[in-house]
Parts: sequence; structure tokens; C-alpha cells
Amino acid sequence: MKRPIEITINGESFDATVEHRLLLVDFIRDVANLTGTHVGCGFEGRCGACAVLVDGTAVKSCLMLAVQADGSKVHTIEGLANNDVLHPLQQAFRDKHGLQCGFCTPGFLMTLYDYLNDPDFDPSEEAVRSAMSGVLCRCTGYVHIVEAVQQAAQSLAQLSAAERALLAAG
Amino acid sequence: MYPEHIEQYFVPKSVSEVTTLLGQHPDAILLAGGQSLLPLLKARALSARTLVDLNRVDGLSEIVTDGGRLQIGALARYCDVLRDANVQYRFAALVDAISAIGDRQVRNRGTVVGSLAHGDHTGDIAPVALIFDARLELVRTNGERISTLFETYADQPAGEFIQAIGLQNTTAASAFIKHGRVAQDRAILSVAAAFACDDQDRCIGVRIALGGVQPGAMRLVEVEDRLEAATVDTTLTQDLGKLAAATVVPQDDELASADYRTQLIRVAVPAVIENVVARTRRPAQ
Repeated sequence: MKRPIEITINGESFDATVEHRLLLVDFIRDVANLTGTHVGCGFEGRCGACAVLVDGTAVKSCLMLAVQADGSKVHTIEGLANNDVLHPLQQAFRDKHGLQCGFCTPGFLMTLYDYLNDPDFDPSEEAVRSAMSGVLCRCTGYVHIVEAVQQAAQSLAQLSAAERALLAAG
Repeated sequence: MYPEHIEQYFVPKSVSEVTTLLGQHPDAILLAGGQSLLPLLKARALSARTLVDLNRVDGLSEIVTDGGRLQIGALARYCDVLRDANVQYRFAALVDAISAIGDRQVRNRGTVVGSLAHGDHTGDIAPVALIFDARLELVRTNGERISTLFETYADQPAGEFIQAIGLQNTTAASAFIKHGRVAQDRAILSVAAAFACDDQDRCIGVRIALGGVQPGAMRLVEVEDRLEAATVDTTLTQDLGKLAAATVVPQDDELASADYRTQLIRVAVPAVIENVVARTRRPAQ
């Protein structure tokens, strides 16, 4: 009922022998001790606070088994900033007050980071709201989150390709 | 919440490994995107003693176009199907349906074939499969490959594995509408329609299918017959809504009452037909 797996999280390798049923979010939180990724709902996978990047795309880590991520590269909220320098998206959340209690925020940041890197990225309010529909926030009412994404898109557009590549996770 | 113990977890690399495993473990559960399966396992509504993970099987995620035929592999993710130019051009109802499924993260992992195999009556892919005469490409545990019409396919017998689904369309425009209680919800009702219009605006090759109202999606054959070779106007579409509502007996369940579903049928059938007509009038690309 167990098997040894290896998952790279934010560039660091984590080896463990885990039960088949262990969820990826629980591997991240309890095995890798990276508790920035949050669990906010029961079984449905509706809240999105657990969103991380697996091999470059945003997924809900509570809807994956850790064994499925064996050999994969995962990026969590802890890996978004560059040492003490916030990613433009994080800076925009700060500037635009895109969080209150902060519980959902890691899910939003990883999901929106993924969306900002999408070739089909559309900064309109409607498109941003649709892209972030997989993360629920009970505090903010979403308005400032949308504004933060739009500010981040503008900041990123002003960077050179090389500068953008340096910010890329994975 | 987390699943019950999973005794055996296999990661096959080829279709033949999959069929061998299914032959050895008739009670095995297949894992593709997992976006429907994981919630059931976590709620312990389902128990997986043996789990076969399809995500590393070679060659299952292809999306192939050949003339009017579209083949979607078992592990082709919703997000990749959405981005396919041929899907966008020829199978607009599929784009509508996938866009209404879950959210971005779900669409990054979930699969079209997985939705059909999961077989939830609120699944949005089934009505779309019906309007495009979908065929399932099955592989049996003895390796035998068969192609079967999705419409007449009963519950998946143990050991048959859906390797791909094939949809067919050359000239029809199409559309799909879904009603849920809230955004990103499961469907209380979904309806897919496809037809072409000739140079006198008569509808040709009409297909209309309903989902979410009963176990299993269904074609609205009487509505198709009425609309075939007819020209669309408001009176006709309203009549077709009433006809559909008269011919279908929706179920009462925790999502919605039968009466509410009946009212939705009256509204959604005309709406989806009008969406298809609007798409037939677009200039050819």
C-alpha cells in the first residue's frame, strides 16, 4: 500500500515512501513541510486554496495523489518570490489589497501565475474572473484580485523577455 | 478528507499493459484526470482496492483530425482539446461544453474520455458526443479492438478500456448550453445541437441531445424530425421547446425538481437552436 516516490518542489528534491492514497497536498504540507499550500474544503475540490503548479500547469493538489506526481516538478507559493523580491503578481496583490485573511491567496497566486503565462491571456475583467473561478474567496469579493492581475500583466509586459524568463517557475 | 487504503497502484506504460492489468484485476478502477474520481474516493463513496493510473501510457493523449473525423485519446486533457484549431472550427458545441466544465485547474487535468467513462448523468460531454455520432474505440482484455457507437453503448463491461473517442462532422454548425444552479456547477440540464443550413435556410442533418435530466443523455428524435428540412423562425423554436418538454420526463433529484427541468427544456431547446443558426450565418473561414 506504499511506494517510494520523489517529487521536486521549488527546485528541491523530496524523497519519501508514502501510502498510495496520500494526496499531493498532504505530501506538500506534511512530508515537505511547505504549509503555504492550504486545504480549504472537504472532498469536492471546490475551494482551490490547494492550487499549485505541477510540471508547469496549475492543478488542485487535493485532486491528485502524491504517487501521481512521482518524478514531477511542483511549484508552490513558497517558490514564487525570488528570495526577498516579490514576483510582480505578489507585488500587485500587495498594491491593490487583493487579500484579507490570506487563506485563499496561495491558490489564487499560483492559478493566476499560470494564467498570466498563458498565450491566450486576456486582461479583461470577464476573462480574468473566468480564469480564477476555480479559487473561492470569502473575504474580498474578488474586485481587488482582478485589479491586481491587471496590474501584474502591465508590469510583466514592461519586462524584457530575459527578465520574464528569470521569473518563470520551472 | 482522504481516500480509503489503495492496496495496489499500477502505472502501466502501454495499452497492452493496461489490458493485462484489467484482465488480472477485474475490479480495478482506472485513473485518468481524476477530477471526478478523486472527490468520490475522498468522500469514500467509492473504494479503490486496485488503481490503474493511465497518465503515463504512451500515445493516449493525441487529438487527431482526419477530414471530418476527430479522434480524442483517453488522456487528451480538456485544455488541450479546447486549444485545438480544428475542434474550434468544426466542433463548436464541444468547445462550449468543455468551457463550461469546472474551472481552469480542472480543465488542466480532466479528460473528455474520462467524463464519458465516468458516466455521471450530469456530465456535459455525453450530449455533445451524441450530436456528433460518437464512436468509442475500445480495447478488450484479450487485446481485441472494437469500435462501437456511443449512443448504444451500455455500461462499460469489466475489462473494456476506452482508448479514444471519435466524433464526426463536416458541415454542421453546433452549439451547447448548460444550466446549473450556480457557476461552474454540475448541469441540471444541458442541450447540444448541430445542423447545417442549405441555401434556402432549411435545416439539414439535425441532431439535438439532452443531458442532465435523466440517467444518460438522449437524442430528441421528435424534435429533430420536426426541424429537419424546416426553416427556423421564433414560432417554430418555441414549438420545438414545448415538443421537447412534452416528450421528455425529467427526474426529480437533489439538484432540481422535474418541473423546473421541464421549464428549462422549454427555454433551452429554442435557445440552442438559435445559437446554431447564428453560427451557420457566419462567413466561412
